[in-house]
Amino acid sequence: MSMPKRDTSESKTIHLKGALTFPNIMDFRDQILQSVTSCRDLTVDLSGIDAIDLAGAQVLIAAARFADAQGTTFRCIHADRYRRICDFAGIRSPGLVP
Amino acid sequence: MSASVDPLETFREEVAELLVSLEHALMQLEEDPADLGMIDDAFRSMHTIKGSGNMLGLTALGEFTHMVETAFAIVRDGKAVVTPHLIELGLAARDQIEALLGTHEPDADILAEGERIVQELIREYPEVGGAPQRASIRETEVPDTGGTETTWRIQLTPSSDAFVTGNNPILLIRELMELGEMLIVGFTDKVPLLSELDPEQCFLSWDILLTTSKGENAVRDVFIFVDDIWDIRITAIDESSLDSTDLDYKRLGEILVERGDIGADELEAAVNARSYIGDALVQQGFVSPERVEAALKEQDLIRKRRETRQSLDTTSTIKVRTEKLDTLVNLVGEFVSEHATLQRLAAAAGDPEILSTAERLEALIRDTRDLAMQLHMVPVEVLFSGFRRLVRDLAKDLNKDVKLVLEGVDTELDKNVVERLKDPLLHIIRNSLDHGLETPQERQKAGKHPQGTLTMKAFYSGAHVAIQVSDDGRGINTDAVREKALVQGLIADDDRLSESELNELIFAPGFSTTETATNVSGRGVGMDVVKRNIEGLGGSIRVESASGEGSTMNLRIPLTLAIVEGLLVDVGDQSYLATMSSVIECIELDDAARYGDQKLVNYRGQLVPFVDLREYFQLDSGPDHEHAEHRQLLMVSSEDRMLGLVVDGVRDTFQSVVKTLGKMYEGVEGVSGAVVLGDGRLALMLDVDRISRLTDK
Amino acid sequence: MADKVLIVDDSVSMRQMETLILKAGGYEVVEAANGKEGVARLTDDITVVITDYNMPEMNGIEFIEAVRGGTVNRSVPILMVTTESEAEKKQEGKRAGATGWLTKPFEQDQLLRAIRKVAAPADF
Repeated sequence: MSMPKRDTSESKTIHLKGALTFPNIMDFRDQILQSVTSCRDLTVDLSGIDAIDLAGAQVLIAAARFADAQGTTFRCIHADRYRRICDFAGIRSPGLVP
Repeated sequence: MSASVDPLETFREEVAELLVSLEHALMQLEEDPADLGMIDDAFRSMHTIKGSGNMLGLTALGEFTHMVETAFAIVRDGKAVVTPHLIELGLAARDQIEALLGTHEPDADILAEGERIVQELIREYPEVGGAPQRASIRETEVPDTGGTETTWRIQLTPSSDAFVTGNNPILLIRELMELGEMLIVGFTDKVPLLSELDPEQCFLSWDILLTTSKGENAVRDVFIFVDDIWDIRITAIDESSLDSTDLDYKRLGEILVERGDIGADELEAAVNARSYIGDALVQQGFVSPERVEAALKEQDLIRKRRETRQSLDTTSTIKVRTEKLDTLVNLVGEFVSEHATLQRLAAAAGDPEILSTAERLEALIRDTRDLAMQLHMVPVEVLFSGFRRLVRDLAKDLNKDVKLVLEGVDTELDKNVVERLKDPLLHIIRNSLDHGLETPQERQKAGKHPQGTLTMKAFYSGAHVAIQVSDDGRGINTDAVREKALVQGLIADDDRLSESELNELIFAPGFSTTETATNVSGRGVGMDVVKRNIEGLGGSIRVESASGEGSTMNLRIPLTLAIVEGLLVDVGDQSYLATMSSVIECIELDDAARYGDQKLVNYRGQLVPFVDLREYFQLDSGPDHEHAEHRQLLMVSSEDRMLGLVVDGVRDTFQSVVKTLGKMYEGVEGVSGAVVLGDGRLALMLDVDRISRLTDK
Repeated sequence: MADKVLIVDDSVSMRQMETLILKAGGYEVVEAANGKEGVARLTDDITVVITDYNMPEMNGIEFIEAVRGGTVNRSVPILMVTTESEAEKKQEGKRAGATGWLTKPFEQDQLLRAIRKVAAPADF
């Protein structure tokens, strides 16, 4: 589901793959949580994500907020689906580079 | 079990099985009246029969089993005990169900037996009588409250298990969007940090402002599956019927308190901080920025809606006398003419300042003209519906049965045009009823519906409005037309005329086919007068007819009479105006490949006929055209074809009021009016359609 | 690929009726005769489930609880079919995790509309 890459404690990019939706949401949460706590600068690459629902968006929001509380930089890239669902639902999408 | 896919057939088989198990249950109960499992079985058998029976529309069965089921439910719920009488009634009910199922429409005997069982059940268990089945719930369509738009504030907090129960907020938001205009703010302030998050639970909530005319029920219906589980608050915050002169909606603090985002004391504390209220509330941690943003959006939306409404209120309609409107249109027309003179003078004077003023003035005049035009348009309904009475009365006089069908009545036309169309249309309708449509007897003999149909249809067609008047009568008798035309000397004996050419003969001056004048059509005024009137409007008329099937008059009428915009061309020493709507392009005659004497020109790979206007209008002054240099070919479109017009020169575009032609031009074919040029001379308006048709021959 | 609907109902004629309507509405149909069979037939590719309330072996409520507490397609939208006399069952069903309900007798349109209401794709 995800593959950690360039694992330095300073910065890290994770590539999420598959459907960031309710049925898989537990795994995604664990994966992201583990990554946020293990570096100072996390990039989440969503290019391999082929669907996202509100549960998925909620995990990214919670991740951005947690990273913020930890002093970790958090950003999502290739995040078109994330942006679209947030725009549709009128919610702020933290972690998106404007 | 059978492989049948007829649910009714399957149901019969199913019921047969259920009745066996019902009988079995009843027998067991006779042995052991306290066997709850058997009571449940009996109940379920009834329940299934009732449910499926109702689905299949077997209402007598549904109602009967409902009563029996209720009796078993009472026993199952411990409110009564099984009695031998219940067993006996249960067995009777079993037979009754079999009987009901055996017939499509149960007869009186069967119904009486059913009634007897039900009455006995009621005597045994009075509660049975208190639970009559509502026949069926048909969804009652809630009518739109229509017209009044309400802005709803919908505060939506899904239950935390929303994701797992399949009630996805996205779907509900989508449904709301379909109801009207929506502004949505989602709140994430309740979403925990990732380390604390149970990602299967929903922590999102929403404020939605929805403006719709669909009514409160339609809004509530969206939430029908979740309304008692989610926290949903729906408040009307603005209504279009609200006669509010107060543009200002509530203050930000008020909105936040009303939404329950903050308490009154918190508001007070923030007000005391004396900075901007929203910032103060956020800084003091009373509310999240998202919620302030939502409240601000609400404030803004309502203020805008009220502003729009107020400006609409003050600019609502006023009545204007049509004479005043006519005067306005005429004045604008004069304006246009005067301006043309001004522009000519400015150009002659060569003063750039005057020239640019003239240009700006032109833009203003154009806008004013367009506006005046709009004011002067009326729907053809005014014209068409005036004929209802006429058709009814005429049909009665003629012993005919005629239905009038009006189509495209919203199509708009210049008011003056509408007035001048009245007489020609009246005449066409009279002709149709008198000559076209048959009597009911004749129609029946011809295998047609005894009632004839007259259809009046209007639609836009470029800068024109097309009006069609068609009937499903006998059509034009071309043999009679030919004979009459021969007698009147309109055609020669050896003229070979096509069907449509023969039809067009009805427009020839003085032509009339009926021997005896009827009260309705009268004698004297023929279709030639109609045609002249239509052409006087800058329009055209053609007829289509099929023997035995009916005929159609096709009218093409310019949208507006008052002002025409065209291209000014010179032929000989006369100026002509070709309406802008008909001009395609202007090319040098030499550039156009010609085909010898055939009067055909190769225009963009298409052979197009052309007419030398000098020949056409028999103007022989000026240089001999065979040697004339720089003659121009004006490509025009006429109805559905193209045509080239050879002119001596092309001058300029020109706008003007159209004057009707004086006596002097009455006999001239191919012109439909005149305009006065800046220098006072007259330019004749080319009737392109007419020229095109005359060239056809 | 057509959306797949799982019908859980002990009445063959009800299942037949619902199947006819759903097939006409462009859905694929999987049938189960009671809750137990319903749980066994539920796969991840089912888009929506319609279940009767009153069934032998495992009734509608128990079925819904089993699905929601299970591992296969547990958030699938489930519509519970009840008769009018079972109005209170609606609440029970909702608490168990039903997505919505349908009241018997219903018409073709009502069934299709209820399905569309809960079964449209909600991801991006």
